[in-house]
Amino acid sequence: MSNARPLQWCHYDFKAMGSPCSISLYAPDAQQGANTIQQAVADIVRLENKFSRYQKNNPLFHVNQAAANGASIAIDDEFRSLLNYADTCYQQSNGLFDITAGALRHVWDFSSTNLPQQSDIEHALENVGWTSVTVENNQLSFGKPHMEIDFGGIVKEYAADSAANICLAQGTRHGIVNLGGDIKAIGPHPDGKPWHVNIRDPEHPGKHMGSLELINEGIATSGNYERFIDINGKRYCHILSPKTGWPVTGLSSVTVKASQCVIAGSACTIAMLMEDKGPDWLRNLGVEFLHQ
Amino acid sequence: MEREPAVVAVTNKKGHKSEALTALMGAALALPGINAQAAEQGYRSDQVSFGYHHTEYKESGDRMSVTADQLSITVPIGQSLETNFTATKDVTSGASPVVNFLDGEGKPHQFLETGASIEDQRDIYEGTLSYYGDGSLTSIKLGTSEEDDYESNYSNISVKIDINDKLTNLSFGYGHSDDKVWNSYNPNVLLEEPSIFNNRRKDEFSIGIGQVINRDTILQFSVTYVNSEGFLSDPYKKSVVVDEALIYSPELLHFLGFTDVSDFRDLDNPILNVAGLFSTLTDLGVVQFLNDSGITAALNKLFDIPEISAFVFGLEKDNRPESRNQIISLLRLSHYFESTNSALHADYRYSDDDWGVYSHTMELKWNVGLGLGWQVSPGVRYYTQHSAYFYDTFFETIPEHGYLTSDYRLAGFGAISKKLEISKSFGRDFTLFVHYEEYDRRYDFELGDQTNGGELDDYTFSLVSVSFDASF
Amino acid sequence: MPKLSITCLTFALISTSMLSGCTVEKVRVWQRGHLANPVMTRDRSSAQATLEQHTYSAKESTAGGYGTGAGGCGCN
Repeated sequence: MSNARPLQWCHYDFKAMGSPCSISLYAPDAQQGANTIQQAVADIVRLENKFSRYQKNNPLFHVNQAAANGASIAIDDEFRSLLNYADTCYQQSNGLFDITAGALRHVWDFSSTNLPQQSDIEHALENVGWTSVTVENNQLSFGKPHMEIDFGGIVKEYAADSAANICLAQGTRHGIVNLGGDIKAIGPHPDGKPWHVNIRDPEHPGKHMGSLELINEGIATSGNYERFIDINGKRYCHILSPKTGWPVTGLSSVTVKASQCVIAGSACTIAMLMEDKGPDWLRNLGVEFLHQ
Repeated sequence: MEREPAVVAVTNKKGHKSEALTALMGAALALPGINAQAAEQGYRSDQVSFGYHHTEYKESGDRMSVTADQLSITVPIGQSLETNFTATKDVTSGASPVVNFLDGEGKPHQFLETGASIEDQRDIYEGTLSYYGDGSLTSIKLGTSEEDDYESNYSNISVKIDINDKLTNLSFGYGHSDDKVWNSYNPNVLLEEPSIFNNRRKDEFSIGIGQVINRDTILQFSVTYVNSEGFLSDPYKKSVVVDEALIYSPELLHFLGFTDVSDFRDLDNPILNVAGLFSTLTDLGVVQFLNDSGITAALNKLFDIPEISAFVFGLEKDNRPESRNQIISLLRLSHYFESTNSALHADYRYSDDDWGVYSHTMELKWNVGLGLGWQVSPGVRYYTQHSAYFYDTFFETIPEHGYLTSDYRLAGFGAISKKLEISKSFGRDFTLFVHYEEYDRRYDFELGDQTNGGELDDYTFSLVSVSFDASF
Repeated sequence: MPKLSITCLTFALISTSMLSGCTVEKVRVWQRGHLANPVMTRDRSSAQATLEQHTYSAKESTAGGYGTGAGGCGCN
């Protein structure tokens, strides 16, 4: 269908989920564009408030209190479906993608310059294990104490998908949501051309390691340049293996393109966790990806 | 640190989905922030789709044939609304049974109404508005159907709700139609009678449940209650009632010089062959001549021919109760077979009503995916019904309740259908579809004890449909 | 319509007990690949399915039961 009126390009930069974010879209007029962006941002803030590990008294905080006590807690549908998604990731990665690896965060301090003691890591590993968690009719139960849930690789990506859907629901047909590198496109450009996204090279600032084209799809990147500890010239990635309790090695960065940003996010995290076998796993998965 | 060169790996651009990706997508689509509809339609949600459909239907012998054409357009409005507009035109021609006359052996013979009087066009216009909510689908439909002798205005609303992690769905529906029915009177045709205008209305309530049984099986069950009120008879059809016919009356027969009247009343051995008389008159072109020459029209002006024919031949108008209550239950099982990439759909439908017509329908349809967008679906269907309590091929007297019909659709019979469908999708935006069916209706196909009905209404039909759907 | 109600109720009860009697597996979202296969959609063309039902309804006394459907027609 042709659209007689020219579309207005609207762009908004903001900070959320600890990252620089932006929403860009084509709208019939600036007012409508601003309204749409406002609603999308409001939803991103809502998800940040709900799932942030750095806030007290939010739903994730209460869940993690229950996790710490090995207790049981009621959760809402959105929380449950995210756990269901995490469960799928766990199954599909043979247990490598485990949101209960959050318990390892207590021993790995990425602001410090010291490695944790192996005995502390082993002790923390005892508190990891998705199989100890059960979800039954919106009731989440932890089978042992000292557990912790970490939605890294899921929530920010899900927020990008959700924001894009809100824009779509508001009538946007062409736009792009970028939450700190987790990107979800709405349609193509108005002329039908795909969105062209350059993937920056973490080793050489200002350079690109490749580019991907998006129509409606999402991309996410996982890499050791985001957060890490540098100890004696060795870089320790923030992605921790639930099997060894140590940061993963092998790949330094993976970018995945998928129909949804949340799928891209979990796929690249799983690839990082698979270390050397990551690229093969992604190839079998059947997605486009870049890695280094 | 050793630096590896950037590697770009692009695989499976052809759209192949691994089991792992299917699993991730399935779980992602269950997230509330991700609209499954939008995710599936994606870029397509902006598209307008068209559908065109053509059907050729032909019954055996001199009975009717139908040609139907349908054009449909679907336009999305925003993210969660969709409208559909459908226009259908079908043209019916050929003959339809009007009455069964008795022959010299007292057996009923069928008199078909032929020619232009049954050339009928039906125009249907339907508009549907659908709302895709969060785990629900609500549709409202308004429609109108017009024929030379029938008009229907109808509306319905249906709601489908997903519950229990989308493992169960519940559906509710209500439909209402207000119909006007009359006969298209042509004074130039013998035995036609002046138009009568009548109303009927129908209310329909349905509830249904769908349940995922396991990874390969879905079971659905629904119950529909239909209440029809008003003029439910057929304004064209008539029944022979022997006691009402002057030609069978003992007084007349005495007058005509027949002495053995009791023999004549014995229907196994009547003397007058009305069916033979009529078919002879028709075959000789006498009926045609009367109609074409204007004699029929002149006679129609002078006499009330239908009243005379009722008096002489005992032709009573089709007369059905003014109310009908039906309950229809449907059980549908769908099972996927991985080894053949196919699915078997088995339906069983049971219906009962207060006209005494209960029916069983069993249907099997096997959808086989052949890859590259091809799908082949063979199917069989068996339908059987018990006759209505006021149905007979002809009547000796008017029943005490006063209702009577010789409409073959209320007879006891069975019907077996063999079907084949072949479809091919070209990309996501174009689908071509062919359907073929052979339907064999026989009174002795009826399940269980034979009820009223006869082989004179046995017929077959074949049907070919071609359709395509395209999105732009 | 006492007879009608009884027969139908019996059928409804049998069907319901079948539904509740058979073991229903808690099929997880990622296990629904087979159910989402296009062959599991009974009718590829819904227009065809509607017209098919319309043809039967003009020839048989039982019409519908597959969801609230179309309006009346002089053919029945």
